[in-house]
Amino acid sequence: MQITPGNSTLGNLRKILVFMWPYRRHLFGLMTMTACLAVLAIFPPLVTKALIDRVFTRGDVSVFFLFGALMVLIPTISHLLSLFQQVLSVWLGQRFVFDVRFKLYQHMLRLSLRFFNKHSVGKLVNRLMGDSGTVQQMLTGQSMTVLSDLIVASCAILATFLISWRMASVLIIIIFFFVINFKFSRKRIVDTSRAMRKSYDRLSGGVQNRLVANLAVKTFGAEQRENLVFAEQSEETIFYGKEQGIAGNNFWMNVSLIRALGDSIIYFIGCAMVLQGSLSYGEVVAFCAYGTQLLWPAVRFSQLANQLQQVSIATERLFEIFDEVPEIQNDPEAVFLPRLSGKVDFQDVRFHYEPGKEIIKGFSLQVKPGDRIALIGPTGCGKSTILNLIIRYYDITGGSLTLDDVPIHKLDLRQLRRQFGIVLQESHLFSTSIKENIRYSRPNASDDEVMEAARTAEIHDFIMTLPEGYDTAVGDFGVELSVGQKQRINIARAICAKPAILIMDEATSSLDSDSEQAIQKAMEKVLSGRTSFVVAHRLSTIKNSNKIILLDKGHIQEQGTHEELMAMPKGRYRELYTKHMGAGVLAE
Amino acid sequence: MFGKKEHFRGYQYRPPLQRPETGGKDWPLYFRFIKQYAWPFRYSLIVCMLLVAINSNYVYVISYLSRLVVDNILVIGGEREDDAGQVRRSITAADRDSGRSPSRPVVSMGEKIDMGLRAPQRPPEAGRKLFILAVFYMLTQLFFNTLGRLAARRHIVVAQGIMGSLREDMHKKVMELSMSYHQAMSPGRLMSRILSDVESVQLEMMALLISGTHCCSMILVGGIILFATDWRMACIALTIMPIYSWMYHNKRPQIRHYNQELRHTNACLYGLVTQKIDAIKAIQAYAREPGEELAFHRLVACFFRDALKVQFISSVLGCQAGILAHLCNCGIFLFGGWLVLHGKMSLGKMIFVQSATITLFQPVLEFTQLNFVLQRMRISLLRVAGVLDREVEIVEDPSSVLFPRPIRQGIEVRNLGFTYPSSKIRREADESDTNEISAPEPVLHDISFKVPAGTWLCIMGASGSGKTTLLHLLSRIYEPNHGEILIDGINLQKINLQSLRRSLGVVPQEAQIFSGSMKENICYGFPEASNEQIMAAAKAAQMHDFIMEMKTQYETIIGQKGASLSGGQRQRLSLARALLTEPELLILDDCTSALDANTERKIQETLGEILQGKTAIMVSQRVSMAMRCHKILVLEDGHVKEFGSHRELLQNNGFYAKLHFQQTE
Ligand SMILES: Nc1ncnc2c1ncn2[C@@H]1O[C@H](COP(=O)(O)OP(=O)(O)OP(=O)(O)O)[C@@H](O)[C@H]1O
Ligand SMILES: Nc1ncnc2c1ncn2[C@@H]1O[C@H](COP(=O)(O)OP(=O)(O)OP(=O)(O)O)[C@@H](O)[C@H]1O
Ligand SMILES: [Mg+2]
Ligand SMILES: [Mg+2]
Repeated sequence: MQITPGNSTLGNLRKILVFMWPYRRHLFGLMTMTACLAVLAIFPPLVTKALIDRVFTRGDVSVFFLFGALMVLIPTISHLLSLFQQVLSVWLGQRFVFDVRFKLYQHMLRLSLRFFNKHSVGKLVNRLMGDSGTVQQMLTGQSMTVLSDLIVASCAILATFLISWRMASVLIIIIFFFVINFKFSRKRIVDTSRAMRKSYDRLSGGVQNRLVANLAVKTFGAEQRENLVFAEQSEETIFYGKEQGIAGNNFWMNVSLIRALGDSIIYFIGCAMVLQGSLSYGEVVAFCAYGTQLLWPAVRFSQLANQLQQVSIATERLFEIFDEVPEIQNDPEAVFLPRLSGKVDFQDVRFHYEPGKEIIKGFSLQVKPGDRIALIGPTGCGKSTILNLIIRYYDITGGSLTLDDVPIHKLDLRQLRRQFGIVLQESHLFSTSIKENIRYSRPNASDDEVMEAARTAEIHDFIMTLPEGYDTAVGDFGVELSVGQKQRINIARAICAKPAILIMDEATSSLDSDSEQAIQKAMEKVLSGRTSFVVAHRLSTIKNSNKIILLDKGHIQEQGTHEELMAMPKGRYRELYTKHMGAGVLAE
Repeated sequence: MFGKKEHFRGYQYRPPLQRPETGGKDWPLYFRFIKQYAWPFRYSLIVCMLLVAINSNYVYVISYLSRLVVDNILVIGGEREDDAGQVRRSITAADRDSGRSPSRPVVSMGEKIDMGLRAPQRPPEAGRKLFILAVFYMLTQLFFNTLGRLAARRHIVVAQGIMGSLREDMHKKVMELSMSYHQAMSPGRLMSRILSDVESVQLEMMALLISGTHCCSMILVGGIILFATDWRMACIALTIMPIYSWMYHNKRPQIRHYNQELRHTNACLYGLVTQKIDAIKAIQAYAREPGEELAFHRLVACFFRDALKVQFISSVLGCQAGILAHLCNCGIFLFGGWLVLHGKMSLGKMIFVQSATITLFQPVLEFTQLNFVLQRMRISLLRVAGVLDREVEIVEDPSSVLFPRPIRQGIEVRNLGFTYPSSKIRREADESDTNEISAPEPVLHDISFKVPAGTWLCIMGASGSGKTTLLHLLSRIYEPNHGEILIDGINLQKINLQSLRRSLGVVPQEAQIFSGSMKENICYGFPEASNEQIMAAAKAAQMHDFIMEMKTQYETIIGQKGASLSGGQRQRLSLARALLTEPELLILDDCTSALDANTERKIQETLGEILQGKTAIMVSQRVSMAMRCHKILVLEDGHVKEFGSHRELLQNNGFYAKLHFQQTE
């Protein structure tokens, strides 16, 4: 992804402000408090000065208590005020993160599969959790500091010019040195931290890859090789880590050196002027105090400028996702069909994942309610893709696809999907109890319905052997299941949905034909009166479908019932069937 | 626990936090780690600590120099009527707002406080002296700055070095650890062990050493200066300091409590989001977005509440402490001022004491927080040690021999029994655990069979009967509980692990795809393979034609987890990977389940050619595959049910015969 800083920063700022808009009153209050605090900060040095000047130097005891009280009171007030300010700013900041994260998550769940295929999970999680935090810190923490620094610094500048314009110019020159330091160090800091980030991303990406596919690492005995790769990457990361640390340290030490030397220069010039008699020592001291107030913000600004870089990157990354338009849009005038009858009509449907590589090339099929459609064909011919189109994971790129005579994009998306019972080719379990997993398709299903579904999917008996039955947790914090067991739970989930249309993509590929047939028998009841789409490789399992579609490279090669297809003397299906169901060759 | 009402945190996806018992100090553990990881850097570390110790006292030197300027050169302030010329003045007070940012050890020069200008009695050549002093003053600044720079540089180098070696050790260990551990710990959690826990161990360890030195040195020197200057004022400071640190100490359990909850919620949020994004297909398939939003909303809200709470407490604490420090400051200033007015003390002394006291607040506070740092380090260290100290299940026998190539006699399995370790054992000590799960049932019972060299065995059986488990044992991913596996009469455990892995070609049931190019994926087991070899393997797996159709062919990048491949393509990729290594023993776990009959047959035929004379053990549900094998083994609930050749089993009229009948009519 290309990040172009500068021109879009303003746009992003506007987008952030949209999030802050509901809290504009709080924000205003926060700013007022900050301003008050900044103004209050001007007084303590004045009080101390007056106390020393008038009381200790001139021995004017009468005002001692007055100034003493002021000296105690003003900072106490400002501490209390800053408590309110902090609490409010924390509240605002957390609220902001809360809103951003929630909205982003909401948005993410609506994005289409194409998006998720492109971005790794780790990356998306980092956007959602990490970047929002970074933006928030900037927004409430730093922006308030900036505000107060600005006020303090402008007051201080005014004060210094009032005291002595010559020394004020010296001060300005010193500030100029901060700018030079910043200019010179910036590139190195930005470069090293970018290099560091990159090498760290590589490191963590590598680790993730190795952990996700750990079985392959183990079975190929590649541990030592991977260790070497890791060591190399880690070495690189450490190198850049050091570079980054040293660059930051150099910058920071330069800043503090400039500050220290600047302070001393002002102080000693002041002292020299005192020797000449052109300045009073009291003025020197006041000047130094305000100089501090001016130099601190300068120090902080240089620091801030670096953070700003990070924040603008984080913001961009956040809004990159916010700006991603869900590919599958719900039509605003969508038809809301409470229950589909199961009539599906494909008219010359065309589809490609990437332009120029058409996967479905003119697919036409009429499905009557209650039909059982079987899709077969060589691997990679587009069976799963056709199912993806019915579920509307992707929009068709040509032709028309209607359900109950309504074009699919005119149907309410969620209502549409609720009508399906889907078993995907890769089975997936959530890390909760088995019961919740089955019920996932219809949260209000009763326990009996869950068990019924499990019985149909031939998994009930196995579940009952588990220590806690249906309440056994699976996955991350629970037991591991075999692939076939996971598949059957997925089937149970699809059945539990009581769908209008059942979609099964090689749902029983890992089962033995015995369990497969048992499931088929049990499914008879579920299938009756429902439209179903089944992808299967084992021809024995699809024999009693109403229509068998033989796909090849995205078009229909043959279609018809088992008998019809077998009746075709030179049919591909017939050939397939006789070849694979006939006796095999013995390798003895 | 803390009086005020605790809000509800028991949401789904947020198991209750299991708090590691506090107060434990685990000194042996710390020493071990310091010895192992910090010891190689001991000289750098000592130099660094020395530099820091010197650098910490910069404030005192600087303020002494400014005192010289005022007293000896400008001679500001005059005699009062009673004490002529003896009033010594210091003019440096610490930065007023140093109390506001106690976390950062900022050494500030402070602001100058007016001493007034009365009856100066300046020495001769004051200007020249002032100039010399100014140069000296700046040189001092430069000197300390350089010291600080060097110290920080050493710090960075040492810290990165420690982190690097610890990280590498962690990675090595994680790679060594067995599959059961990997299954119990999801990749996300293991990642955070290797990356963020290690980082925090390093950070806290360095913080402990460096800020410990910094604080000790400052408190020691500052205390001595304070007492040497004026013991009465030092006593005021001494009474306030304990109150101050007590205040922090008092609130700490509460802050820690909320912080722990907060971190736990955060970890759970990461877990939740990772899992859900992983399952986005299922979520969208059932249009369950609203439900998922709700679950997320609850956890984020929980996070929000705890974050507010902890920040509120620390803000209030900061405010209280700030006021207290300020009062102490004023107290000394006013009390001292009173003494000065009555001529019982010199102004310079008073201000010097005040500045020294203020400077002391920060290290005192930091010192009381060191215990906190220690606790944090302990938690991360325990997590890291939990990985590093975990016993490796698969250990290399010291007297191991090479895998017999070629296999002469064959493979023999004797009385094999296996039970998966219970999930309780697999889990880490500090992780939340769901309720006790009773001891798991054995998966394999007393399995015995023989595969003569050069023959193929097909394992069949219902789903969940233990086929995959048996293959895992054969490829030594798990260690059997009893019984043994012999290859040419050598126990599997006596075979060198590397040579075993090199000689096996394993195709797992679920294809493992790395994100990277097609070529990288195929040659994972044999990175040095030539292009011809890679293509030959792809051809054998019926993958070549498909790959050549793509624009960038073998360099095509495969999307996340192979998302842009169809199910069968993923499986064939995984098969090609195993074939490329030219294995002595091929282990296939249902590697054609997602393939159509035609492709499957082609693969079976090429396999027949490639594996001519080789030994293979495979799981399959297809009779067409089984028929090609010399022997067939039927598993049922972990027992051997049938064993024999195709013909024998057909006559046997059992599970296999039924299967045969179903698949061929
Ligand atoms: N997300 C995607 N992006 C790009 N190409 C894809 C994507 N998903 C699938 N393809 C390609 O589209 C073609 C058809 O894939 P599909 O998953 O529909 O095959 P299939 O018929 O289901 O095969 P199988 O029986 O192996 O599951 C394949 O060549 C595959 O590489
Ligand atoms: N890592 C694991 N931890 C605990 N139990 C497991 C683990 N893996 C599998 N099991 C359990 O062990 C039993 C056997 O599993 P296995 O994976 O060997 O079955 P399988 O015969 O390969 O089945 P399938 O044909 O479905 O793949 C199952 O009941 C399963 O629940
Ligand atoms: Mg498919
Ligand atoms: Mg299996």
